[in-house]
Amino acid sequence: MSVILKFTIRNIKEKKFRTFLILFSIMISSALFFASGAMSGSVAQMMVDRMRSSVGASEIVIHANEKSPSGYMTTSAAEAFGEDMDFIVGNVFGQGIYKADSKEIFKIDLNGYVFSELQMMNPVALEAEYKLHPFSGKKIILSSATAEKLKLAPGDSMDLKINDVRHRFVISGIAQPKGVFLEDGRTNNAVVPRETLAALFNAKGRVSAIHMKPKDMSRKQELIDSLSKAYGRYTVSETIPEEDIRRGADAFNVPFMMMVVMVLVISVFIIYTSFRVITTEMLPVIGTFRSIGATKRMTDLVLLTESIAYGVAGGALGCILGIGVLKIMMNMMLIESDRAAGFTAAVQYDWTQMLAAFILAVALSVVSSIIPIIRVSRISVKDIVLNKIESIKKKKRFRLWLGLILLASVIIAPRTAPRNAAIPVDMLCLVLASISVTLLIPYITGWFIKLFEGIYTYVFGNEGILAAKNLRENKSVLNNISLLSMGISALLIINTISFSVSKEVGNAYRALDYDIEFWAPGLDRQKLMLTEKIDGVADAYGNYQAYNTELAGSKDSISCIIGAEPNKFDEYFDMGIVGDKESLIKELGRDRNIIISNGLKEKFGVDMGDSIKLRTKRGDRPYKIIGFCETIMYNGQIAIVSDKYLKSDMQMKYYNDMLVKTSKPPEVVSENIKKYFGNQDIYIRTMEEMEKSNNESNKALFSIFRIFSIMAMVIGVFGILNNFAISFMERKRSLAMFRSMGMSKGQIIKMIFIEALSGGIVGGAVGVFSGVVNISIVPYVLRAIDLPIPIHYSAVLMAFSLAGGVAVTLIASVSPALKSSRLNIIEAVKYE
Amino acid sequence: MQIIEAKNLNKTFKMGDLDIEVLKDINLSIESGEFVSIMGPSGSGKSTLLYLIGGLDKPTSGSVKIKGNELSEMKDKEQSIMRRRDIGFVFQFYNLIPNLSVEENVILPVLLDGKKLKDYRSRLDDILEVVGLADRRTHTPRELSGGQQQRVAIARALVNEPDIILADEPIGNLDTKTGTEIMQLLQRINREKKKTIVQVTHSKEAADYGNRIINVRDGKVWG
Repeated sequence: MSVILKFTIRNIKEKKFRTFLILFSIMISSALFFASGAMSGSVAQMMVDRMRSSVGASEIVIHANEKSPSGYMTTSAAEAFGEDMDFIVGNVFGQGIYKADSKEIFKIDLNGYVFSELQMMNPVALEAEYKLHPFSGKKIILSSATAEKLKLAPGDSMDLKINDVRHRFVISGIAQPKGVFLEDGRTNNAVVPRETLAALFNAKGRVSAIHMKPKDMSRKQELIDSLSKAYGRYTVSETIPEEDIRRGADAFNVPFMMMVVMVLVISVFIIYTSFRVITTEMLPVIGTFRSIGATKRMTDLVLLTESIAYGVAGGALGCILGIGVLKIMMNMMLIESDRAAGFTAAVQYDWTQMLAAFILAVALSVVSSIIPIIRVSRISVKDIVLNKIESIKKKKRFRLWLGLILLASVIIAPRTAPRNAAIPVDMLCLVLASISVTLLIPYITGWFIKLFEGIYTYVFGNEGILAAKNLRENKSVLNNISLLSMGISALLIINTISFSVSKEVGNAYRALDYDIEFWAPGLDRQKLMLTEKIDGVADAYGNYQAYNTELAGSKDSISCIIGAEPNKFDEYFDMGIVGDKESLIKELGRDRNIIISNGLKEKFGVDMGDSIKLRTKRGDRPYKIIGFCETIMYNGQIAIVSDKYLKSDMQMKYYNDMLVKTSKPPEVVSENIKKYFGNQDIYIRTMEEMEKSNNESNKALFSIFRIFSIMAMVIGVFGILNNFAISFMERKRSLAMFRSMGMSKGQIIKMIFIEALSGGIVGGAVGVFSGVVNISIVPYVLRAIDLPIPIHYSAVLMAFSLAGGVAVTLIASVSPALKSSRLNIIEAVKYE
Repeated sequence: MQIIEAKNLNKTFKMGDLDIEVLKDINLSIESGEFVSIMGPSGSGKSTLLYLIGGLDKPTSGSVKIKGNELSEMKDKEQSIMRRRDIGFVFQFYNLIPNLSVEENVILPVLLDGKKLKDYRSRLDDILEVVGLADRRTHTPRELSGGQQQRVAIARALVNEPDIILADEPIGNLDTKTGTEIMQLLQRINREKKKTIVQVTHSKEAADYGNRIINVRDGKVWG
């Protein structure tokens, strides 16, 4: 047994490229599987970390809502729970305006805290201080970034305009940009004594929010319930709804898992083909071992051990690589403002994810190699020794039928699968699509050759005929075509999704027909009229929107309901309303009517004329569906009602934001609006800025997608290189025979290149076809995760994929072509 | 007319640090229409001599002339054309393309020579008739016996009507009865089609089908 094992180890060592290829496939597969699995956890952690930076260890928060009698409250009712809490911290928010020497105006977000309490909840790391303690009176702590920007140092005084009154503060501390002081480059945070700030807002003894941390976390919900009773007219909630965030992030890894499935299929194919060669090569040796007494079990075990060894090594390396990949992916997820804030991406994974990736690696290796191993195991020792292995090929017609049936299932299943089973069904379809293509490739190649045989003879001469014959019959050439088609299909899916998203995002912005949107406190009808008078403003629209409105009696909700102003809505939004847009919008104003997106129509299972009951502030209100719209705004989870009803049902006092059409350049008008609103807190963006920031966040996501698809392609290319090498080995004898019959070196090179060219064309075309089939599955996956993006097929992308396929095979055939021309004819033809 | 000529032919192989002299100063001449058997024990260098004559290998020194043309002066393309048109090879292990049919295997040299298949249909029929495989033309080598495969190889060697047939142990892999049939076929081809045949064999019976025997031992021609 040990001799056989030694032989296997030597074999692994000798076949360095093959060993590398198998290990590489397993390693990449398990690394991507691990990274995808850990991705949602890490994304959730990143979101939690982002939120935690401002609230520290707070677990429960109490703050005012629309029903609250005031924006402030006392902490006395919370103090009654003192024994159950690690801390109870009250804070006051406010804003101040700082006018620098350069006349530039800066908005400062003021956070009023008792310093010792803040240290307990969200510790501040000071870089410098000046008479900080006792932290009372008009003292202020700035972040190092803000201090540098405002050119202020400890001990300097700082005049802040708060509620139109100037107050002089002394810089008492400079803090590191962490926690409360984590800034994104646009905001300026400062901490001042709580009582000082409360007094400036006439809220002495009261706070804007109360933060608490229970001693026993298992009692968190119970404490929230009790506090809700004590603060009946205020909102008591979890500070960071971690569970909700994690659930939300789970949908995030679905597209990545789709890519992992593609990578896995390619890897299975590579390992399977490699093991076919391994077992064929080892056949005489296995025969020898078996003839001298080794049992079938022993020889099977040796092959299986080799497969497990690849799995173990590939899995271990894959886990290490996976951590790196995850880190890279998370870093790419950071948006510009995160980086500006010095925010780093947390990578979160646990040993179960690692174990799962490791088990996957071993299973991948064993499952992919088991068929060749079993096949060898079934051959009798006599047949091996006498080299009487049945090699007559039976016409396997069932492969054609099976391939066609699988292809049909792949087309039908995603369209008929229930929404809740969509993700597993669609993932399975991706695998089945690849199997179907592999089964059909020999037939497709045959049909291609039949179709173009005449042209081949005409264009390439008799070498074309020879190449055509090889293409039809040579297993390695057919394997190359299959691998190529899988790689191209994966690449095409990703690029088509990226292309569709960028196109849709562009379309989404084209659906918004205005130049500027802005928000300022208390935007009402009067301010709308005043805005219209600002220089450069051609027209303005007050926009009402309600977010995450629940449906009565169901767990569903609508991400955004827009209140349409019947006379102007059409001029500002093109929501893809199906039918007579104008009359439908007019119809909205006549009663509680609603137009919902097609995404919602499918999600809720409703139709024209049905009513949906919205949970509004004035109770549950039925809205009648009078139309549908096709849009990806708010991921297609959007509805339109009349502004009149939205305002009254949701008890909205102010517009959510103001939309502006300009008659002068938007940047100029934007400045005019800022000037007009003066010291007020105003958030303003031009359409160009909105598009830019959206593109940036999409770019990060699709860069990660691209990494996945490139890895799939890299594995595919390595597989093709390996197959070309195998193909050369297998064909050495016949190539030598061709040479002995008078085939010149040039003719051999020409024949191999024609094969590669044709293989590239067939593989590329089939890859594009299977890519299109797979892409047709994608909308169902996206819809299942509430991301209904219409897919746009790009002829240019398809043409590039095809050309890429041809280029890959042509490049991969260079080495075998040269080797073939330098072949030692005698060595190759002389021995059986 | 002299069709093959070897002069002062030497071939040395490198095995590790050792130089093994396989052929030593060989001189021979073969006339057109001869059926020559090169005989000798294993390792005597007889197959190497055949491959040098066929241009499948290069001599360390010396020269080989086929129909008066010096092989070493030919470029790869010219040598290839010579192998297509002037020489037909028959190997011990047949060396057929397993996934091509009998007629496709036979017609291969024609394809390599860039000729049109339709012009060779009748010749293909004739040759298959000669080798007795007319009824097996659509079968693949896997479906044929050893003897039948060797007949395909002979048909392939004949298809371009070369003047020379070089056969390396043509019956080395066959049973006695089939071997006799193949040798009779080669003899018939030599006599009826006036082809020059050079075969390598270690069997006296097979050698006797030819009209001259060249004995090779330890890399030298004897007698």
